[in-house]
Amino acid sequence: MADNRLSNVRLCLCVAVTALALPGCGGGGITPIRTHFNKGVYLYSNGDVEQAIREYRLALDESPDDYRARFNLAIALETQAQRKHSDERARVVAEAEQEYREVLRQRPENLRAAINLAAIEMERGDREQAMQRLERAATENPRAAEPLAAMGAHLLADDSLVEAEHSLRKALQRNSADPMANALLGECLFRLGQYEQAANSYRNAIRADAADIASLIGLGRVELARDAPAEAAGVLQRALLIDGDNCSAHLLLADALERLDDLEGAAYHLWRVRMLSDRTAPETQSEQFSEHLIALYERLIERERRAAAESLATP
Amino acid sequence: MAAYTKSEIVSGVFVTAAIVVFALFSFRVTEFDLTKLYGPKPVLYAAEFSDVKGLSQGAGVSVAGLEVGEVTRLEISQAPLSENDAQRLIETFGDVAYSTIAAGMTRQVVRVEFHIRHSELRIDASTATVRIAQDGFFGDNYISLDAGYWEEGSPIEPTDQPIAIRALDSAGMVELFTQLQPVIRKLNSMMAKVDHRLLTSRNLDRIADTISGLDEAIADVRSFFDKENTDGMHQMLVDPANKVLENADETLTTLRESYVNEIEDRVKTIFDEGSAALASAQEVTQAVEDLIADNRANIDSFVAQLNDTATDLDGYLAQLTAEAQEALKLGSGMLAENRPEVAETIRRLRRTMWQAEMAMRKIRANPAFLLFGDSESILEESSLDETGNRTTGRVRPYMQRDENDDGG
Repeated sequence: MADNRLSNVRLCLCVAVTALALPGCGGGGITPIRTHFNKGVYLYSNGDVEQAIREYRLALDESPDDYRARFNLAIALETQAQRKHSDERARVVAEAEQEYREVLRQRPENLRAAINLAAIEMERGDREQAMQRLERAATENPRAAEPLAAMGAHLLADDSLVEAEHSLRKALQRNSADPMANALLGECLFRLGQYEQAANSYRNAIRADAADIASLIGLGRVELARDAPAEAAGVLQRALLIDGDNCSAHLLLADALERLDDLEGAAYHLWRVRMLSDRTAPETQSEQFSEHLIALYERLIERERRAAAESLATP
Repeated sequence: MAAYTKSEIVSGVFVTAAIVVFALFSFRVTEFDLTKLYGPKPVLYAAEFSDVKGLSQGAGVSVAGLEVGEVTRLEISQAPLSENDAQRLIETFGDVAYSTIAAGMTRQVVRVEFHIRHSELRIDASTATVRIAQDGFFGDNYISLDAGYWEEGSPIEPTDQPIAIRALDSAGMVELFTQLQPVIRKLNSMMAKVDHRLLTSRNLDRIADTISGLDEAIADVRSFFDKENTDGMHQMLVDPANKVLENADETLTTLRESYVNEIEDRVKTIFDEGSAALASAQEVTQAVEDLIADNRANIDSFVAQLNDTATDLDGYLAQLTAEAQEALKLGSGMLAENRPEVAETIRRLRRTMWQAEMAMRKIRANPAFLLFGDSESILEESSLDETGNRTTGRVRPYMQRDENDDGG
């Protein structure tokens, strides 16, 4: 009997030790669930730029050769610079430029860093140097469409629409599914008044990436210009499915719904934009926006009065 | 008239014969050519030399190496100096003598007369030349005659003898050295320059140093090949290589013995066993063939049934394929019409799968998660509005990556 008891005690001890050991089986030695880099991407995509910069720096502390973390850090610094005053902005932009150059030093063939560095040079006024960098990138990477697409973007910004279209079409010859080139060509053709072709370009971009919010919004704008508010509403609703806080999508959708005489929906989206932060929706603070919202509510009020009057009039 | 006896006639003939033989013998010994007495008269020539180099009377005269005459007389004479002779004297001895010599001046010469025995030898006096040559270094001097040249068929002009022939410079060794005199003078000048510019004491010291350095290098190379040198080739390369070869030789010997003693027998055993197995397999194969032959009819019938079944299956498959294609067409149409919804559904499905993967990782990391759950939220990136980036010519940032990626 004593032996049985002893064996039972041993059995219980084994079970207890196993139960305690199970939690200890995890943790050390197993791949961490979330890396600093992925955390940084998550935080940046949700607008928390400062925390994203912190996570990227931690990722670089762990692995100084991580060019992806360094590139994303540079982009986050540029985004942060946009929110600062001019003196501080120049310093942060210079820091971002330094990170891009470090990426190119580690990986001279990195296209993304070259393109974004050219954008900084263009904004600083070194247009010739920026264009030379993009042309060099385009020559050294004959299959990449991004350098030519970036050149098209700069030409678009200078209102050189014909040259921009030429550059963007050359980019699409290299990669017909490039979302950036398709979206920018859509913008270019929209400005040139070629709405049908602009819509096709945006659709090509969406076909390559169904979650391309920018292309969805652009297509919505084109559909509105073509006086197709129903199609515009459908596209913009898709954009809001992906990003419910996109102010541009809310504003355009409000316009589309107003044309469709859906005043409640239009008011809802306009009010939604007003509820978002001032930095992401500066246009909501303008007098024109307020007047538009007031006019919309006045039309709603008038409709309700008419509906109430009609309901009273009918027996 | 006296009558001669037979013995007197014989004696007289014998004496006459003896005299004739003696005469002939005398002519033979003295090399006197009797035909000369009856041959044509030799032609006499004369030439004036500034230096006869010890030429003597009776010396031979040769044409193209063939002796055709001899020198008959040598006498001292005077003759005017030609332009060529004056120039040659100035070039050869201008720095020692003859500084005021000029053509036309009179000089002392030796007139040499010689005759040519061969009358058929044509000599054109206007173009012929003679020179004093020497038969080797220690041979006698002789006259070398160049007969000159003429037009074919041109007549021979009669000339008073002795016929004057132009004498050229001697072709002996001394004349050769005289002609080399300007060259030697130039060489001397060059050697003086070389001596002054190249063979300086400094250069000679350098050459000496180089030679001593070469000697040392050669000594080092020699020592490198010396067997006793511990740093030499023998110690470093040859002896170790020899050892390796010896070891290799021993290894090969051991291997060969092992092969002969052990492996070969094993290989033989394996071959024998293999042969036995092959024979068994052949027996089995034969048995199977017999079995198949016995059941051939049944097998043919079975195969025929299989063919029928396969034909039916083909039909079913074709039907299924047609129905599937029809369904796919419908599905494709539906997909084309509902692409945005489908895309959104796929995105949500991917998100769900990512969440499931994250949950499994959490469970693996900490099984207590099953009991107590997890308070951390899903950290999946949201889609970004790229409008700002694109209009400023920028590309988007890198997306989240697999946790197992090393980030390189």
